[in-house]
Amino acid sequence: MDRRIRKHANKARMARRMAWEAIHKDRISQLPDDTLSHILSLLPTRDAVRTTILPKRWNNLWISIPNLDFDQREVSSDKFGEFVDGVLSLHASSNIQKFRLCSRNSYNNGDEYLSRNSRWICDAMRHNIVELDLHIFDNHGSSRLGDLQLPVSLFTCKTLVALKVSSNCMNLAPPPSASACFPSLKSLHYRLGWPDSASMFEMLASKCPVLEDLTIDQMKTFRILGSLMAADKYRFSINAPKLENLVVSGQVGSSNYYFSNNAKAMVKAEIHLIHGDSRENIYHVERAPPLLEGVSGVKYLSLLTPMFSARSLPSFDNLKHLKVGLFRCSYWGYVIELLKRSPNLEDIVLDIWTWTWGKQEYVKGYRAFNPPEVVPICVSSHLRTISIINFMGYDDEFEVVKYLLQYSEVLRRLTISTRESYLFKTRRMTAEKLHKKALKFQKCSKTCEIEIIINSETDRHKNCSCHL
Amino acid sequence: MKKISVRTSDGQEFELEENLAMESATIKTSLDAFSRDDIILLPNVNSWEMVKIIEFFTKVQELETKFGVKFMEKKEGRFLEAFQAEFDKDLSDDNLYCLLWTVDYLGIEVLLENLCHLMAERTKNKTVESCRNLFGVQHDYTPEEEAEIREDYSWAFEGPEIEE
Repeated sequence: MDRRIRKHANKARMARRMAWEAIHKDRISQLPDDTLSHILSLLPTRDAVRTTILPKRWNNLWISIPNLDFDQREVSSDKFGEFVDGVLSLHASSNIQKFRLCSRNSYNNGDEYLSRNSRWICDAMRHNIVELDLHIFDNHGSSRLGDLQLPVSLFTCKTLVALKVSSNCMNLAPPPSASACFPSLKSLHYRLGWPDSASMFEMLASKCPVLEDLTIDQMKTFRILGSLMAADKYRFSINAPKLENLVVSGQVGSSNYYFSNNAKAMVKAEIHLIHGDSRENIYHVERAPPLLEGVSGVKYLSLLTPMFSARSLPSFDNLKHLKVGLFRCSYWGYVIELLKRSPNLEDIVLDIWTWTWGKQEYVKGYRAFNPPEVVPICVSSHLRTISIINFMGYDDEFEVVKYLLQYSEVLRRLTISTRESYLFKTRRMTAEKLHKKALKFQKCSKTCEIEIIINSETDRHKNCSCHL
Repeated sequence: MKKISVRTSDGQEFELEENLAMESATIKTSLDAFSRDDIILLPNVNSWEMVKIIEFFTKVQELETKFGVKFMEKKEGRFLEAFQAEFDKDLSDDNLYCLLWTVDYLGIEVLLENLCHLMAERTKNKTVESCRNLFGVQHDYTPEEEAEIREDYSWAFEGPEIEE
C-alpha cells in the first residue's frame, strides 16, 4: 500500500480515537447497571462470571443477573461440577428468570452424575424460575430413562412458564400426589427418541392446563384427541416436517388447526370429526379446513368429516387408500370430487352412515347420481378395490355400482356389505336378488370379482373401524 | 406525517418522522413538555450516531415489508438475525459502545435490545483485557487483587480463551 495513504489512514484513526476519548471523558461514560446486567444476561454464565474481573464496580454485577446458562461443552468436564456448584452457591438473587443446564456424563459414575444433576435442578427451583431448559444425557453407565428424579417443586412450580426437556435418563412422570401440576406452564418443548419416552411424554402433556405452545422433536405419530384440547377459541399451528402419522379425533374445531410448515413426511392421516349419533355433528361445511390441505400428501387417508364444497378440496396426489364416511344424503357428487382429486387412488372404502339419515330421507330414498363427463383418472387406471358399507339397495346406489363396474379397467374386487333388514326395508330385496342384480352389470375389468357380505343384526358398528 | 427536528452535539440538524421520533422515550418526554415546532437539542448525541439510528429505522421498515411482520411490536427471531448481519459489519467496537450508550440515553427500547445482543456476541470468549477495551473500562484492581480473584473463581477461568 502506498506509504502516503497508510500515513493518512493512521492519522485518521488517531484523530477518531482522540475524539472518542474526548467524548468519553465528557459524558458519564459508564453504562447504567441495568443495561450492563442485561448484556451480561445474554452471555453464557461462564463469560458473565469472568467479567467480575473488570472494574471494581462490576465485581458483583454478575451475581444478580437473572439468567444462568450452564453448558458443559464450554467448560472442561472435570471442572464443570465445581463451576455449577460455585455459581449456585454465590447467586445472591432469589429470582432466576432463565435456567439452562446442558450436561453430559461420559465418566463411569452414573449414580453420582444423576444425583448431582438432580441436586442442581432442586437448587435452581428454589429461585422462582420462569424458563427452564434441561439437556441431560448419561452416555456412560447403565442409567435408563426414569432414573433421574426430578424434584416435586418442578411440577408444582407456580412461576414456570416455559419448559424445554431433552434427556435419556429423566423421570418425567408427575408425582401422583401433586394436585396442581404445571399451573402456569404455557410452553413445552420435548424431545422424544428413547423407548418409553412417548408414553411418558403423553402423561406429561396431559397435565398442563394452560398450555399454549407445544413442540415435540422426533415424533412419528401424533394424536389430537378432543378431550385433550377443548374449546374452539384456540388455534393450533402444527409444524411437523418429520411427522409420519396424524390422528385427529373428537369434537374438535377442525378449522382451528393448520400446518405452518409442509408436512412432507406424513404418510397416514385419520381425521374423525363426526361421532356416532351426536347432535353436535355438522354434516355439511362450506370450506374444507386447512387441516385437510395439510394432510393432502398422504398415502393413506381416513375421513369421517362433513362434506366440503368441491372448490375447497385440495388434490391428493399421493393418495393410494381412501376411506370416507358418508352422511345424510346427496353425497355422490362429493365422492366424485374426491375421486377426481386422487389420480393415483387404488383402494376406496365408502362407509355409508345410514343412521344419520332423517325420516324424510328414508321415505324419499332417492338421491341422484350424476355421472361425471370425464371418467376420473383413478377409476380408469388405478382403482383395484372398491368397498361399499351399509348398502341400502336404492337406485342411485345401484347406478354408482354400475358406473364403477363399467369404467374401472383394473378393478379386482367390488365388495358390498349390508344387512338383510336394510335391503328388505328399502327394496324388499334379499341378498340373493342383490347378487343377481349386481352380476348383471357390465364389467370393464375381466378379472373383477363381486363380493357380497351380509352382516348379522348385532354388528351395527362393526364397520366403523379404520383398517386400511 | 409531522416532522420533528433535532440538533445533535456538533450542531447538525436532522428531521425525523413523528412516529419514529416517538420511539425514543427521551424525545417523547421532551415533546410532551415543549411545543412540537421547536427544535429538540440533544447535546449528548453525536451526528454520526443519529445517522446510524435513522439508518436503523429505515432498515427496520425495509425488513418489515420483506418479512411482513411488525418488528416494533414483536421480537421476531429471524428478524434479529437479519438486522444483526447488517449492522454488525460497519460498527467497530468503539462505535458500538458509544452507540449503545446513546441509544440507552435516548431510550429506544427496540434498538437497545439489538445492540445489547451485538455487544454480548462480541464479549463471548474474549479475554479480560479485550473485554476491558470493549467496554472502555479502567483497570482498577492491583495485580495482587486480580490474582486473588482469579484464585477464588478459578473454575470460571477454565476452558478456551481467545486472544484478541
